[in-house]
Amino acid sequence: MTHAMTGDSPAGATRSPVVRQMNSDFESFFRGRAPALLRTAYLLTGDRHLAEDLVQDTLARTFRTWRRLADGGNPEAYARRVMYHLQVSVWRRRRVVETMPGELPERGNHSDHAHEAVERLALRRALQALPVRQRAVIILRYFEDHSEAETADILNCRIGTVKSHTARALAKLRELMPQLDLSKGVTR
Amino acid sequence: MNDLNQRLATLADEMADTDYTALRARVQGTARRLGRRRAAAHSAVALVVVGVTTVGGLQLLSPPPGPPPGNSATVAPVTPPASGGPTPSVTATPSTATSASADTPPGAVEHVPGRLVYLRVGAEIEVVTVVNGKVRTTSFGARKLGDQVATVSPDGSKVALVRPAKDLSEYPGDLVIVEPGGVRAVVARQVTWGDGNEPVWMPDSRRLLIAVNKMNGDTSTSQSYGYLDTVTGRYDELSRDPFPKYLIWSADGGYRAHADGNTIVVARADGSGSRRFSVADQPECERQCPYAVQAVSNDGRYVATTQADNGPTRIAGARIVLDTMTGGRISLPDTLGQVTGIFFRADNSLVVQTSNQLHLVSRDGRLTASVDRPEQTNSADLWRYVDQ
Repeated sequence: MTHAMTGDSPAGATRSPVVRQMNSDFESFFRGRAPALLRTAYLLTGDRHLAEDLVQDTLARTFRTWRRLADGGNPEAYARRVMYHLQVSVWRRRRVVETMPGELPERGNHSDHAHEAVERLALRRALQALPVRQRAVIILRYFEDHSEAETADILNCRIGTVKSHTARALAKLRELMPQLDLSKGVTR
Repeated sequence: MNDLNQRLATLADEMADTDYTALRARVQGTARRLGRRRAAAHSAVALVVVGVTTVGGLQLLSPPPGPPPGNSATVAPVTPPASGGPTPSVTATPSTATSASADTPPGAVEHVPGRLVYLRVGAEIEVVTVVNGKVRTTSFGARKLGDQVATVSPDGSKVALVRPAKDLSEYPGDLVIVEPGGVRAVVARQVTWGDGNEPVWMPDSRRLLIAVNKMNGDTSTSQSYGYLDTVTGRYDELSRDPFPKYLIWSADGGYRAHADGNTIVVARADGSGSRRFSVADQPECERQCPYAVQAVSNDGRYVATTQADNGPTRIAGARIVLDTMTGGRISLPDTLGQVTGIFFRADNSLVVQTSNQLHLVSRDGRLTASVDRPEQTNSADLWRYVDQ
């Protein structure tokens, strides 16, 4: 087995030009896309460390298939698909962030800065109150601005499932955050 | 762009100051592990194919006669449940990751010696103990909405948590003791939690140190803290001073440590020999000082600590090791990546947990061994470590 197959790169080992190029390409991909993946992962997990764990696993899997992806594939689409599937997989579904639903901060007279912080906290907790698939649908539709068809493709489900998840998730968010303005909606 | 889109973008901005160098190293490490696992799976398949071919060409593989020895097996519970309660589920399984990783230096161990106690709060509450590499998972029943700040006793036999008595917005709450299987008993009311004030198990695994609010209607009139005996329900008030935040005991129960502002206070278990150590000059103080002490060595000299800003209530894990005698800082190997927990061994060397591995690190910060973290501890928090 070659080091290229295992991802190993021991010091002093001679790498082929192909492997060097592959590592260089992945490095560029990492620098360019890791921040965006982390932002999405943070919304999915609600926790900085879990978000980093999720992106770590996602990019490791992406690296494992890099040769195939670099040959005409779409690494970012692949990485995002992997990330969403990891998030809704059995192991990650069992992770629970300590912030519990049902304890949304009260609205009151706050300064602008404090008010923004309270609103962010409220949204984070409201997202965590959603089942993991509903949360994924909301983030794909409202944060990443994917269409229903694209969302269904990424989550490997039917468009009808995306619609029902979206409706239920929005109803829950409205219940938890009445101040949320959803009047404009998603047009696609 | 609508309101929700804007709010999600603002929330995502909180993920701004990631250490990308460390993340890149973690990605590389995980990719290596995935490669090794795939290679091992391929090797196993190849062996089976060779075996079948050798024995009889097109011979079909017959199903195994039963579970292989040493594989997952349900055994009788150690602690019988209270009458009428559900039957606890205890499973003992060999660790799936007891072999040293390929990165392990020569002479390294196959598993972390001693006992590690993990707590997982998911759909159900589970305690996972790993004793010299052997994994045992005990169910403490289903998690209920409102359960807060669950903490496992040092011997792993009980879980304490706080939950609201009536509605979810209630604070403070009832202190509940959960036995294996999920039998619950309320042992105290008006117990506070949050910001390092959570109930803390004593080393005897029987008493808890708790802070209690005295209420007049919905108004708190005073607070005290003291020992609660979880067997008799007796509460012995110790003080009306503020609760010692992030209070922890050493593995042998001989020393304790807690936070007092930006100062970590270390003392013998009886309170004598108190020593105060400021963390105000640590570099993390630009953001928040790492006063949330998580572990103290058996001789009280070293503490493992972290910042308290990664959770609204309790935090899990430590990232910094400080020498409270000299003010020095033990440098952990750069190759470890993201550290999620640090505990001390009897000789003051370290057990360091990262996302997928456990590492043994010497007192001077040298990595001496690494083993894969048992898969059964996935998504569980490491609460205790005792090396004997």
